Amino acid sequence: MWYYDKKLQHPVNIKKGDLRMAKCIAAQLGGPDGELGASLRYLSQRYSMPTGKSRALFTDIGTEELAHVEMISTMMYQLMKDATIDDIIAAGLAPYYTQHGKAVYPVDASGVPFTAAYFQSQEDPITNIYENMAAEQKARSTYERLIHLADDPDIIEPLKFLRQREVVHFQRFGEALQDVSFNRMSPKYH
Amino acid sequence: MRTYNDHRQKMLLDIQKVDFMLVDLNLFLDTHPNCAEAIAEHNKLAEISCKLRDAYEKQHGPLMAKTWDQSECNWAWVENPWPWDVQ
Repeated sequence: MWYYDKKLQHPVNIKKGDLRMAKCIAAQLGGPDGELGASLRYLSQRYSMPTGKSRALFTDIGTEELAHVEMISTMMYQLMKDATIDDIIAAGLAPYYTQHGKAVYPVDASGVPFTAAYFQSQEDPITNIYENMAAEQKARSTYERLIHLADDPDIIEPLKFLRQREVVHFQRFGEALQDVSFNRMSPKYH
Repeated sequence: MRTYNDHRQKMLLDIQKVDFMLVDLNLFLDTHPNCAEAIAEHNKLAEISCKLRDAYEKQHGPLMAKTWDQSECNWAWVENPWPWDVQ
């Protein structure tokens, strides 16, 4: 089970709306390398993990990713909430507005809705860990492009925090790979 | 609506800092469960977090629905602001 903590993992206080950045940052909510996919990936895969260490790690990173879904959703909300109809049309968000208004909904940067097809969950734990290490690198790269696109420090600062978490998670998954490999005696896993 | 104030924000930021260190140490300990140094650091920070959270909740309401103060007669969990509000 889970409990909700009434705070963000890291502060997000964006005072100035920016629909161009909202549209791009959506990539990390409902996109292929986004936080929602990351959370569901690890929380689905954990049942196939063989060791206590890897089960703990998948549970805890999957949980942290939910806190990142909340941070990205908060960024989307704050970036969109004061937008006028003219702002929305100018940013190319009229189709999104038609379907959702200014609500937060998981789509990618092109407006394609989130799908579980963005991630895998396999029985082989080694396969899962390699997917996760790649996923963390893809998310890191995406955050770097978002940081390049942004000019408001209120947007850049939480993006830098989230980028750094991708680096830490990659490191921890690498350690889990060693742990699981060490515990696998059967040659078919190597 | 609860008014946003600097004191609440400062208390919350202190909790966010300590709790973040705890999350990061938690992941480290998942792959290094026998690291005595990290466990000692975790225990120290966990105690600080408890104290900070208690102090915050007495003044600004519950951080978790299960930690609400039973002596109060209203369900303070429903009070604004929520984490996505600009603080």
